[in-house]
Amino acid sequence: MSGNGMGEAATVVLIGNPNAGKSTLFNALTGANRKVGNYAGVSVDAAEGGFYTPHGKKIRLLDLPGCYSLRGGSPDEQIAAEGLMGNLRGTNAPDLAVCVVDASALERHLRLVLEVIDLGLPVVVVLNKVDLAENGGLRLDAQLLSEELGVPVVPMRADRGKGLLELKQALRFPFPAGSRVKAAESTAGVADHQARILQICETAARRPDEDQLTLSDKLDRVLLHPVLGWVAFAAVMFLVMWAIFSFAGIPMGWIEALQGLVSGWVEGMLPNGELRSLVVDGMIGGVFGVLVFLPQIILLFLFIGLLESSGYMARAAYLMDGIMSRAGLSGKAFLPLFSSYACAIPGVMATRTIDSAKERLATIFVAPWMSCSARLPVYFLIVPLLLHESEGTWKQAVILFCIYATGTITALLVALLLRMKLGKDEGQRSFMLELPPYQAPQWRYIFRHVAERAMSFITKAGTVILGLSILLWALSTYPRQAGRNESDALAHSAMGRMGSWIEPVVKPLGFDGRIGTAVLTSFAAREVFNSSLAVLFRVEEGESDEESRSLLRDRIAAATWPDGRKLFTPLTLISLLVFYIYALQCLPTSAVVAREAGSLKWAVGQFLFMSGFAYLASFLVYQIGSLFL
Amino acid sequence: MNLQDIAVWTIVGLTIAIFAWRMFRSRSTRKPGCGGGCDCGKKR
Repeated sequence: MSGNGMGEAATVVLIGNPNAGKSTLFNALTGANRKVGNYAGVSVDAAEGGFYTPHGKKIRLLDLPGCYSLRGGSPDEQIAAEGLMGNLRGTNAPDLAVCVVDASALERHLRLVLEVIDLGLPVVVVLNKVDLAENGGLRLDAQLLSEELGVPVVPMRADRGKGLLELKQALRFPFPAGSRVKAAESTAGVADHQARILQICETAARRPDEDQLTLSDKLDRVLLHPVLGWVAFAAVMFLVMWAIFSFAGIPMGWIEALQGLVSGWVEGMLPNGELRSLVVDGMIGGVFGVLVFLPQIILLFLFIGLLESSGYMARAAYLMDGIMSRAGLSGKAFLPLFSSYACAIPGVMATRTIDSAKERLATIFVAPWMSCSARLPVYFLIVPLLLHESEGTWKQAVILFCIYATGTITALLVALLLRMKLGKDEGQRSFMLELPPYQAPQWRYIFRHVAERAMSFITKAGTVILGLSILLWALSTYPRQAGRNESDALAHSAMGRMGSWIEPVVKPLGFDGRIGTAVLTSFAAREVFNSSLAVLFRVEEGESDEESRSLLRDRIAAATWPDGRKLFTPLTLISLLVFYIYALQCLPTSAVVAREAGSLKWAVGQFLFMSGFAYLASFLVYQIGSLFL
Repeated sequence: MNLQDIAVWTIVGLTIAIFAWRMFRSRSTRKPGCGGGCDCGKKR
């Protein structure tokens, strides 16, 4: 026991069923900003933080992933069990376990509590979400529950911070001894535990005589309906896409105006020359080519946060279970795949909730095909070019919806093929899904999470994208020959030459050397595609100075082949979109896949397969499309 | 070489140096198993 010395920190673990509110409690106690959501499986790794009790004792707090039992088979459940035993690398054996239970689902959550008590550790039970339980008519008696279990019980509402002080006081040093019921129960099996749970609930948690339909039950009648549920799901998804395009227009206009102001100010300050070109075309053009899509990124994360926090995500997983099972996956794979819409890295990590190793591998393999937020700047640049300015935002939303659907459907088809190739699982696998009651979104956590994502996007634009934009500008400017016009100078530059080498490879996809070069540079980071286009299309033949300062979208819309044909035709734009839907251009994702799949071969194979698939799909789209258009 | 050229080459040279330094630094200090992704380096 590490914490028995007066000066040392005591180690306390937070353990409980998925969606009991452990991470919310962890954030409330430590002031951290760990991701929370109203569905099972949000946390798949252990987190560490610290705080002081009112008595001045330092507590080292370990938040473990949710688990239904200490005998679970999935990787996240194994992490939880190992954390409780003190077997996790870099952590001490715990001095006390705080078991977080959802008061509204006491019968199910008490099973794990009894298993933890059986270990003989000092235990404090947190009875979370008491308000939800009492609103549902449950009459809870924490004192009786404490007497029945033989450990302290603290009623709480972790999302509002209610009961925090009482919990900290319950963690008074020296910690309470292990439960006195331990000896009697230590050899208890599942059936014994079940009988004991029923007896405890009979005494300490009395249900109303008649089952009342809660608001969640009434909403679920529609949202889980075999037909209406799907209509609602499609409507929610379409509404999110539409809102992203509609609401982002005004702030995007502000950012574009800011770009114009900054560029104009720099042009007024610096004489015409290479330094001015570097700052205006390279640095400002490259960074703003990405930064302009910040409002859409913020809106996407805001809507994902709302869906996660309200409890709708678990319903979506329930609806998707049928489709997932046709693809050889279970509903458990839906949540990691949905997480990948934000970023494939947490999505790949979230596959730890899947206990079947083969299903987990298949899910990891296809997760990067769920369009992540890094692709959005590319989509938002290309999609409006497919439409006339007068056409409404709902058409853009439909195209974005189709982009997401294309990635998702392909991912499921490939998952099916992989599952067939990998073979069946040994033993029977079952999928249990907890449907939490709907709740008001936790705005504080949503805003903190969105702000964190927005800052990460701005930081990336101001560091990596800025640096790459400077390098791209240098490559597209040097070696320079005096007396050439801008277009010839670009063709003579290192990047221009690279473009001419690449052009034969990418021409069958409808791209010229400049687009091919921009695609190639975006293997460093997808957003660099926009910056590369801003640098490569900074000057078009016959443009005046005023025109050359126009927005990136206008400039690439006006771009032509050397023979004067329009470069960005609808077919070329679709071919580009298809390439970006399928290509895996994210080194960090490959590194996480190698770690989670336990083999570099999977990461390399995934990269080669997806890059080849992207090329082939773009090729087919352009070549077949050319026959008709 | 005029003043503008010197400024341009200083900026480009510094950028290359920073990228090289970051690559070297991230290789030598990255936590085992960390892919350097979105949530990497965040206190968990």
